[in-house]
Amino acid sequence: MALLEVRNLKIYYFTRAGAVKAVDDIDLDIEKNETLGLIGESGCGKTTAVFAFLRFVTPPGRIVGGKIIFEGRDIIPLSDEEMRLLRGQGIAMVFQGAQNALNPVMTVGNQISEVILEHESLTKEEAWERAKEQLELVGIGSERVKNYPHEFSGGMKQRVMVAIATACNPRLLIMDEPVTGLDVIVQRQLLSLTNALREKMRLPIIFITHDLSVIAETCDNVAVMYAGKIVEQGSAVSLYKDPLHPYSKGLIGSYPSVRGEKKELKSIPGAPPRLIDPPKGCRFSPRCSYAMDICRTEEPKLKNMGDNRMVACHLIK
Amino acid sequence: MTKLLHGLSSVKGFVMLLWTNKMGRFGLMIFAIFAVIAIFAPFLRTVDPNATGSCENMLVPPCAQFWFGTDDLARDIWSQLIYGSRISLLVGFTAAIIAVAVGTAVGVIAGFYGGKIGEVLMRIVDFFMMLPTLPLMIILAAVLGPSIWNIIFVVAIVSWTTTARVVRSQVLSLKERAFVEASRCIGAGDSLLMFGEIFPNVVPIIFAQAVLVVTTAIYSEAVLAFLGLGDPTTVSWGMMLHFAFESGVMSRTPNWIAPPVASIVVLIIGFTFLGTAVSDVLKPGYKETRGL
Amino acid sequence: MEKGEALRVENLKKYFVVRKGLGGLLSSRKTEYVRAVDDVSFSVAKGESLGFVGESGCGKTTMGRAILRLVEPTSGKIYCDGIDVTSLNKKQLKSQRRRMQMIFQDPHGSLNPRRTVSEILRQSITIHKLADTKAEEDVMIKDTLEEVGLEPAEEFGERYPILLSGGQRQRVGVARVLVLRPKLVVADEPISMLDVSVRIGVLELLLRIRDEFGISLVYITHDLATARYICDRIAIMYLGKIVETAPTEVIYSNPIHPYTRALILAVPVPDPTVKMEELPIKGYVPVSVTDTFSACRFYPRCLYAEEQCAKEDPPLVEVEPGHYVACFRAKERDLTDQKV
Repeated sequence: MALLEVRNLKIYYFTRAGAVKAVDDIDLDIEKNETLGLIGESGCGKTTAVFAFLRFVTPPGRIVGGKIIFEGRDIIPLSDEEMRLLRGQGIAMVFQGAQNALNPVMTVGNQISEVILEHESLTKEEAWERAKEQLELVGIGSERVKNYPHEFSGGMKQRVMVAIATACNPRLLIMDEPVTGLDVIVQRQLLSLTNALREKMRLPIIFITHDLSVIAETCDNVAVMYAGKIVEQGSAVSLYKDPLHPYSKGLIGSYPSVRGEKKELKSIPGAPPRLIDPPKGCRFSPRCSYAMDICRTEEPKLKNMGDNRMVACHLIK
Repeated sequence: MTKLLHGLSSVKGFVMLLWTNKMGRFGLMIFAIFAVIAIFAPFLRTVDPNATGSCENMLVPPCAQFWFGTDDLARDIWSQLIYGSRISLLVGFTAAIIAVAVGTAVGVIAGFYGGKIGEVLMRIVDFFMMLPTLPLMIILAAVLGPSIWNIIFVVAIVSWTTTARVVRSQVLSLKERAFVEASRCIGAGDSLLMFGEIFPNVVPIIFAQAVLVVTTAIYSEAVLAFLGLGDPTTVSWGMMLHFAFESGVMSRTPNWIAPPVASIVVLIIGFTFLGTAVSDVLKPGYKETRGL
Repeated sequence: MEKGEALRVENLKKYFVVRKGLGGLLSSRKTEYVRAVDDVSFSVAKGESLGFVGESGCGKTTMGRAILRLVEPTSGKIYCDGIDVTSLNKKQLKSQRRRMQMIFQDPHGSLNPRRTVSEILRQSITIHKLADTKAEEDVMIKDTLEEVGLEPAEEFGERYPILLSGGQRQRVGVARVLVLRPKLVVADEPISMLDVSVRIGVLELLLRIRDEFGISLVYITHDLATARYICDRIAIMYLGKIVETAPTEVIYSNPIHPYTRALILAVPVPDPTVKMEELPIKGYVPVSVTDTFSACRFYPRCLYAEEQCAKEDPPLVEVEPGHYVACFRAKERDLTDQKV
């Protein structure tokens, strides 16, 4: 049984102009020891999807259908109190731009302890000691436990967020664009930390980003999202060596590299569609250079290609 | 549909957007009703509101001929009410326009230039804000004499400061936006930046302020007139209440008091709703969260 | 000023005074400065694109603005096409602006939300009186929109920025400066806020305007990977100084300065089989830098530092033709031997 099983998840935003189909029928599996990268451009629904895993979807958005089964239990019908207990301890999240999520008038030690005390019955002193351990874990010395957020740089604040998120030993960690906006050396330090967490704590991670290179450095498996749907899934190695979906191919071809030969870059023409009125058939068809007639009328389903690979494309048999 | 999307760039779109907001709709309707009343006053079965009449027509209770009855000089209360709307709206709008114009000019200059000019201007604003409004208005009105233009002037003097503050803070934040820097980089000079780039983005706030100043103006005019500092030759709602008070029969003639009071209250509520709706509608992201 | 130089910058400095507040008024310490740009010199040839790469806080953005005098330099000289820009008065500077322009980073914020695309372009034209009649203006607007790929031009001209995608807005940003036919364009992180699949289109546009119109580019970015595609030469900046500069492919194949090497090793590689290596750097970028430096700026973070590095600031030295490095140990074998 997988740690997290998502089946037919649909999340729509209901606006006056119509329903925006932000996440439209996706399936995902995350195993206990896996790091899954979720890649897609802005608006593809990846953030909305993981927000649903924490039941953070707020009106006008609503989970319209499907199941999210965490450790054998569907979390969609859970009560608010049950969900609250699950957050932080079962599933934890590091948000995008998390540096701004720190309370400027509390020491980082207090912010970490606060989370611990919320979920575990420890004394204040015990929680403080754990907070210090957390800071060591993320590579910030425990002597900084009394510092305030403004005394840290952007990258370090992000690490504090990781310390907070992992404080209660969650069984699944979600990181939403954790390195976007960080300088490259700082980014590298945070990615090393992520890899260390994977190994030391055996923590399964869902890693969301729009940056393919970052996924290559940290993830075992990758799911590619486009316009609310998952178009390809598979191990990171197989995706890079042999991308099947035209969108994946386009993404990989548009990534410059600093190593080796300078390769030719190709852009993907057009722009992602508006999800209020997605294109008929395959959502990528308007931008696809291989589009056939069937692509414009019939939506391709995710097919299992064997060897842990899935792809949703009429071209692939 | 696309009109609504970039509706804020045209007046028509703006009004349509206001209509979708509950408060805005109410405010617009109130405004429309009173505007119609004011414009079409002569056609609404009215007579000259200042025309006094004979003794037997004094203090007549509401009847077929005088819908709201008459006052102590046999003047038709209904006509006074209808024509009074003209005064209230005139004073309200004119004072608001002057106050907002002055406030905007001060706010834009103080915000854009900052530094010493900004400081000096804002201290002037602070000074005016310190002055107690009602006593100031009473003194000025008493000194300047009873005339509708003096009233407008007095009301404007006490109302411009909030606009100045609000506009200045808006300009301070707009000044830092990339498009202002981009225009400066193209070669735009200070006045082009202030009026071509920043000002159009301040207009929404000015609208919201103007609507709210109108309520203050209407109320202030009513108060000043009631206290006897108004222009006795123009019959405004405040004036009606003043005459009612002076006549000594106020407690026995609800038909004389109720209409002007109700009108003042309804108009102020309507404009307050409208002002609130305007500032809500202009918040960034309003259209998105309402699904427009 | 050499022939064929579109831009020459000499000893450019921009210092910001640190405001001390009330407590500072009482203390007797001398004024502190943030040395955002500290003695930077370089030149850009006609039709060349020079990249400035560095992390946040290195001063590249401030330098870009100082070159155009959007921020007044503290000292130094800037020559654009032979003209001493630093000595121009307000009126002369305005007309000089026609030749030196900037493309901004934020596609959302850099366009006035209350102006249509054609109004934005028209402003460029009218400020510099490039057309005599409205009809001429319209033609210029239409042509420029087509040049940047916004077609049909009539339709795009009527749109407000809110209806444009990020990539389209950046194209408007390019059009706004292109209509002036400038000699020099400073592009400040023009693609970093765009979706990945859209970035290349805008990069290609910049390359095209450089080639077709002979515009010289100063390309500012923190992204070493994309800099490779648009820059002929690259200058690496750290804490207000240029630490290395060389032709692009040389920077990638033979980086010498320890900071450059760390930067290149830090960029994630889109290949899962390549493992991340240990970075040859320690510590973090300082949160605020106001101390007087009489040492190499990079000293606190350098794994190869020696005594001399703590006492003197290394000058930029030509290590091989066209390749300049500011490091006392630049010529030593043990640093340059490790190929990336």
